[in-house]
Amino acid sequence: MFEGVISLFMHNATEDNEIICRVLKGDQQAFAGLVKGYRHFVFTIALRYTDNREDAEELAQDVFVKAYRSLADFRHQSKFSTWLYTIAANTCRSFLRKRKTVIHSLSDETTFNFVNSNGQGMSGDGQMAEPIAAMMNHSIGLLNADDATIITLFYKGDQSLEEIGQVMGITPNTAKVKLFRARQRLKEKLEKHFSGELKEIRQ
Amino acid sequence: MSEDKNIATDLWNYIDGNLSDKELLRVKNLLQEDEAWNSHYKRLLQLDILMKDELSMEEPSMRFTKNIMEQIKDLPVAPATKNYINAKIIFSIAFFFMLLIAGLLIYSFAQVNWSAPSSSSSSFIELFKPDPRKYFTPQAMHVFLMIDVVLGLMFLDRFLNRKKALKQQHT
Repeated sequence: MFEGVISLFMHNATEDNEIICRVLKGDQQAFAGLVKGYRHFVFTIALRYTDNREDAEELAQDVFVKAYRSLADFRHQSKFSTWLYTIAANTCRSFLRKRKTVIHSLSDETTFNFVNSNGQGMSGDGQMAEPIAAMMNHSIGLLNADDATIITLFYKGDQSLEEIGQVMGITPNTAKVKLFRARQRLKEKLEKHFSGELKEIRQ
Repeated sequence: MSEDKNIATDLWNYIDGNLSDKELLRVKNLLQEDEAWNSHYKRLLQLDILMKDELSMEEPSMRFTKNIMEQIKDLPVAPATKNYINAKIIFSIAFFFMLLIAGLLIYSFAQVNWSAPSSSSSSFIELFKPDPRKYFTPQAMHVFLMIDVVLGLMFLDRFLNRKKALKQQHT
């Protein structure tokens, strides 16, 4: 089950390279394979930068169109995912600059409401998985976009610190420091808003 | 606070497997002997597991892939930049300008009268007051105009070629 979910989000490099070769030879429809393989991740990254699902979807689509247009520039020196996430991070950041929006973070009130409405669900014995995931996703929504993106890239995007550095345009050492700070901030948010749930999980 | 931060740094490096053998042994010993380290480690490990297992990806709309395929339907893949940006030309231009700057610097320093008294600044000012009549000779102007004509013809040629290519694409 778990492996099935992983394979849904992750593409293997050989498969990606085959698709890229086909697209470059003129088989445009093959590109749909890359979109299907990475749409969840790219959309999630876009949602880290905007709280509006419509904007995120437009951004994610823009990322794939840009990737398609510059596919000939992908030199296979890195994983396709790293190359794609670099386009995603740059597109999302330039979207933020254009919109001049303040990076979204949930207010304490929103979190309080969430805890109240979901807290009871945590005590159920076999029903823990979904509320825990909701708690994690809400907590990551409390972080700033870059922190949330770094955590997502490291834990869900299968990216090393070197690759995260490439995606975010920073050195691997800076990526390591930023990942450390992002995890600390996430820990603080969880302990502040979900301390009861955390204790329950520990038991 | 700072001590807590140091412990957290060591523990995250331990969890990520980024410690050297020596540091690894030190942290392992501390985890066995120090209760504060051990409880801190358990909290971070729990967070690490939660991030690995419980963070989920968001699902875009059903039409997502279809929308993208419709958007790229009439778009060709752009040619690779290495095909139209020649690194040799870029390096030649950079080399030319570096040579020019170096030449100017050498010439400027060669003009300075290093033995002149420091109070007199006239020679220094003269260095930056070139005589235009010396450079704008009729011969130099002819060369300049000739280069302009050649460049103009090159651009005209490119413009006409592009126009011709566009015409062929439409027909």
